[in-house]
Amino acid sequence: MFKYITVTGIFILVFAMVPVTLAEKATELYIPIGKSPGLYGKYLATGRIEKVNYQNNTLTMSSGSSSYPVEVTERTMIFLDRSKMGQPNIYGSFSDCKQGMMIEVRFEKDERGRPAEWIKLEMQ
Amino acid sequence: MKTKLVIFCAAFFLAACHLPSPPSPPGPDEELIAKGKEIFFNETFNGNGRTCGSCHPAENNFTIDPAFIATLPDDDPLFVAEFNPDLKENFENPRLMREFSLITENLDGFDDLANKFTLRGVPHTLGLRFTIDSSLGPRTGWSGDGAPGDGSLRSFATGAVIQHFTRTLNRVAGVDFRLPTDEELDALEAFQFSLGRQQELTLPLPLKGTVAKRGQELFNDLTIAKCSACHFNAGANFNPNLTFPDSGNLNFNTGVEDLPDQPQDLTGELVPPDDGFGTPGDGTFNTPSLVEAADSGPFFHNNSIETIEGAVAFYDGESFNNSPAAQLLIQATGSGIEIDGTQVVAIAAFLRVINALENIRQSIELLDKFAAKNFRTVKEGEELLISALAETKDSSMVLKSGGLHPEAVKFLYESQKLIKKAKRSLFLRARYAREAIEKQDAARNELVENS
Repeated sequence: MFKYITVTGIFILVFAMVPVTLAEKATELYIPIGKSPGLYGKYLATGRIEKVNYQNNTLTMSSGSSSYPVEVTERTMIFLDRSKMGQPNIYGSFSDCKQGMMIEVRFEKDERGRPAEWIKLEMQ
Repeated sequence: MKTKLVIFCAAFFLAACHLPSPPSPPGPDEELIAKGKEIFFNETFNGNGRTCGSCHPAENNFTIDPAFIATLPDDDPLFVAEFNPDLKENFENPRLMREFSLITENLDGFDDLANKFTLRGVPHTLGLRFTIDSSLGPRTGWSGDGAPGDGSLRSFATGAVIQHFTRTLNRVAGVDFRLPTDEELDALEAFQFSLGRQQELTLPLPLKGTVAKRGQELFNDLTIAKCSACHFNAGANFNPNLTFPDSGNLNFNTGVEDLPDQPQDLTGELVPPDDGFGTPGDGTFNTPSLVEAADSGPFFHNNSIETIEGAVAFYDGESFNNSPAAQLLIQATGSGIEIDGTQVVAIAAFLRVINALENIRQSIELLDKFAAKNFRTVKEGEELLISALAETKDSSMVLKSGGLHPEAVKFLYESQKLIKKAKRSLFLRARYAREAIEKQDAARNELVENS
């Protein structure tokens, strides 16, 4: 007889361990700031970097009249948006984050209190 | 002379009887779908010449296989890596594309194109209404993480343009391609959702064929083949009676990557392992629907198995029964999957029959539309007949190559002849289309009891 409870339990155990980047797709690298389909205007924070703390891997960004912190972890993907320069976008690192840069952030699970899932920095 | 003129006018009048009659204005959904169709098959997004239809052609069930690829001219945009010097390296592997219909994707990043890529088959785009939603978010593509942005089918086209349509490996938006607009994404989504079946099956079906009937029993038996655990109603969704009701379309690691002697590995070409969902991958791949399977092989994410019988037999093998998915099944049921040769054939027969039924359904729908002159241009009418012919050829091929239902195959051949007559005829197109429908109905009656 099929063990329904066992299956449900195992199912929950297995799928509770699903990583946070459910819909991550490598091509996000090549999508300029403001163009990520289905996200722009809904789940992304776009603004400018106010300050960067290189010691604890956080930065503060301003968006409109608000400011909020952004935590960067080893999972966070950082994309350098060079599309306005007509150059290919490339992967970056936290050291590329500089005060005054335009930035777009997607947070893990689309919750602003969580670390950044990815960051795009506009290069000029 | 006068007689000739009268005859000519009469002929013209009769021919005009199967021009499109001015249809009622299309609803907003129909307009959006029509727009999506136009984009899907014609829009290159200022890229390398490919369109969505390059890999998802309507005449081949919206997928490609080696036999179909062999019919294409060498300058088809599918083969752009062979004639565009900017895409000669690290874009596709032409040999593996032609021989096994494998497409290159850089799912784990674009930082090492020479070594970091996967080679996957092209999934069809039929029945998408029922194969994407899950409790864990939308699942697109072979590993369920196929779309950028919000991960939806709507966003999928954006990723596809970047990966497959680019003029050079720089992939600069606005230079190497243009991104689809919001309106284009809406239209493409609407068109794709309109393809294929718009309802899930409800098993068991009252099948007539002895072997297919047994195959359906085995398919649904959670103590023997257990197929319906992951392919509820032969679709793409997990059985809601086994876990919470809305689990939907899920990913599993079924051990396909562990199969020995995979065809692409035998060539000596570089074929990196495919780690599935996420980066780094967790080894799982998305569950496809089985209704459309029998005429859309090869099978699994890497086209490693050519036939539907082979795909069924996979689940009796070591690679599956040692996989994490099988361990889940063993813990829940006390055993893996053990099916013998005759049972493999029976389950495959069931899959062939439900696929043929789906093809027959589509053919009737297309022929009905044609007979009722429910199309806006002559070209659209012709396309209905061409599609109906393709579906009918598929249904007859699927049954014949499984040694199933020779009477139904006969009716389907007769239907094909009538469709061809309708294509050639000036005056009797609607009549031939209706007769073709009768033959389709007769074929269906051989497969399943009338409801």
